[in-house]
Amino acid sequence: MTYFYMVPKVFLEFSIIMQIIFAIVALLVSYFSFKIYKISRQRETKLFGISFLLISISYIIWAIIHSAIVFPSIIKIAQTTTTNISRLGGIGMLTHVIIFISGLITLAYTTLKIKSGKIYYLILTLGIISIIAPLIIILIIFEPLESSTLYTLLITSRILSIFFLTFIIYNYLEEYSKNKNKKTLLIGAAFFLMLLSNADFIFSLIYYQAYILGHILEFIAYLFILISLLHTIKK
Amino acid sequence: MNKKRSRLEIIKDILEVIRNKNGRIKPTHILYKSNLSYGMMEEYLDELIKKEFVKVNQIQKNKTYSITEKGNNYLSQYKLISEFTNSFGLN
Repeated sequence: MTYFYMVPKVFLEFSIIMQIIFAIVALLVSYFSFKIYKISRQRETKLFGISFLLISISYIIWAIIHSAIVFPSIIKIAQTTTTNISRLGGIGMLTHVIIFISGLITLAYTTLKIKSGKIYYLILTLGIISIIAPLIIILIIFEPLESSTLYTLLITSRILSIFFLTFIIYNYLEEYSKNKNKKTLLIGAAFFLMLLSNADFIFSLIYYQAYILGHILEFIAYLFILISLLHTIKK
Repeated sequence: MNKKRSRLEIIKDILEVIRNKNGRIKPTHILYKSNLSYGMMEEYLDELIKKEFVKVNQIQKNKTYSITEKGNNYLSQYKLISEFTNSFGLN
């Protein structure tokens, strides 16, 4: 798989640690959202919990897939051939992307503050189709090159993430203009950094340094979310 | 001018009104104390009944409302709920 070997192994190891950190932070947010939901029975907190749970699961999948590629001896793969690793990586990436985008869509839907399952499923289906359709086109019409399929998946998912993150950031800015709460602004800034990291990750297909920068930006974003969460529950 | 109350604040206000009346209150008192229109009050009370924060007691033609354990729990944890929803823009 061309993509996975574009960056030096040490950076992939660094990436695994980062993904685990992101998964833990997202899981913490999800846990407290469900805890708040249990007390308040407020629908938005449940949806928020679901979205962060999905994001956390997507990072866990990413970490497992990368671990299988970087340390094939640790995670036993039947007949560890390059093709097997490539296939595993491809399926893992697709699963990660679909779950991550589903998390962002749930989050964007939560910020809409509307109560319509139909709208939610409509956005979710459109989001997933936008990921899968280009892959099918690449595989059927063009030469089914593994690298081109993966590049398409990565670029499509990043563009979709940027789109949904823009929407989420806009809503956080709107919320901040109403409540003037600095923690809301911090969360908005965290999503803005996530947007930057997604844009940056597109370039990681060309320059591996962008891969590192993307992770650093994402790390700061999750640090902001963690700070905001800790300040909230400490009070 | 007073800031518009959030949904969470209104729920807190209604529950406090019920609790302050020793756990039993008539709808007219809730209407008066919670500063809501009749339609809005009905909507909120329905929601609170569904969430099991409030219980309806029907004695002949008289209807009163009382707060449940879940309702009391909401009041005691209100600060945390409010902080969380404000920070994460879920209000």
